[in-house]
Amino acid sequence: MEESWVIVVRAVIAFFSLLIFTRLLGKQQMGNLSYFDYINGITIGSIAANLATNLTGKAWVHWIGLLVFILLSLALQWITLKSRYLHKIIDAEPVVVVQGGKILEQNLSKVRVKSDELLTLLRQKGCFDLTRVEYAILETNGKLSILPKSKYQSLTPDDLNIEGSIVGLTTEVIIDGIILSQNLRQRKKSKQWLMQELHTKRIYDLKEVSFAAILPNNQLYVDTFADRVNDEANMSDYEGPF
Amino acid sequence: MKRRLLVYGFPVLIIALSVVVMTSGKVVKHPLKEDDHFIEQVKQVHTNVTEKQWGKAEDSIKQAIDTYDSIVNRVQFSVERELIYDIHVSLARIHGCIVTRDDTSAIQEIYVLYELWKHLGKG
Repeated sequence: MEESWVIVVRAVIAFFSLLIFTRLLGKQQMGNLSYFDYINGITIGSIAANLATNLTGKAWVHWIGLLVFILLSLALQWITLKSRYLHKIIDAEPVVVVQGGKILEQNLSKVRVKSDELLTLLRQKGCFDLTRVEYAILETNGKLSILPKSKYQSLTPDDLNIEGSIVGLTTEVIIDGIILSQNLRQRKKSKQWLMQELHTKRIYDLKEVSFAAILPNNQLYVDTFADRVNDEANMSDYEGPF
Repeated sequence: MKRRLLVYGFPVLIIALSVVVMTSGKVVKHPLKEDDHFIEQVKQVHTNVTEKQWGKAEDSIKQAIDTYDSIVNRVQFSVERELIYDIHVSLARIHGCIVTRDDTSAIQEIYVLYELWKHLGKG
């Protein structure tokens, strides 16, 4: 028995199965995972690792285990999408832990967070003074959201009754010297316009361009492969290569 | 069309291939060519031992061991390692019993081998 070859084949199966199954599970942000999602992810990873390297069991048996976990996760996702009530039961609810600068001890003990842990979470959000907090809410992913009291909130253009600058999306139009025609069309621009803009920036060959994008204010941002920067920003303490 | 094939066809193909590789043991343990009849060879050993034809029994068990080695190459991706080794050990025990002319132990071990073989690639 060629164990090395068996491991290679099983690792390939585990790798692609995991890739396909996790794509099926969707694009839930890593930062938004609930405690259950986190543990579930670890379990799925562990089963996949067993599928790849644990030769004492059949690959098929591990694969079935992996499939069942993925199907159950998909089913749970579907249930939580369809029923808001079940979503609250399964994923729990955000809990208000500070209101009007006061810690809500009862709510804190419900989520099993100690007050010094709460202070750590507050500090991590840049809040060093509890009295400045109007609301602090512990989200289902274990992160803290803070709403400062109105007098401690940042000033916005709206507060001053002035018009803010244009906001919108930046659209990539050239990557590694290749024009992304679809994106150009989205911004209602032509290739001629793009080339003209490049000429005004003294760029005559697309191959020179590493990245170019249309900014929200319709200006073209261009970054060439040749970076004309001095050594001031060099972070290294020693001469390389590292 | 090409993209659709890549996005849907490729994953389906990968999963299908994986399932085939993982469940192939049940099929590929059976003979693929003329001199590949492992269980027939073991049955031959059984007959030879019962008739106390020790020379023939030794030839048959050696042939069975060679055949099993080639079968292992096919089934190793879909069956558990321990079962593969258990059959190796069982074959070695039968061989030892034949060399020492111990027909009782040889027959006992042959029945163990039948059972192990039955479970190879099952489920």
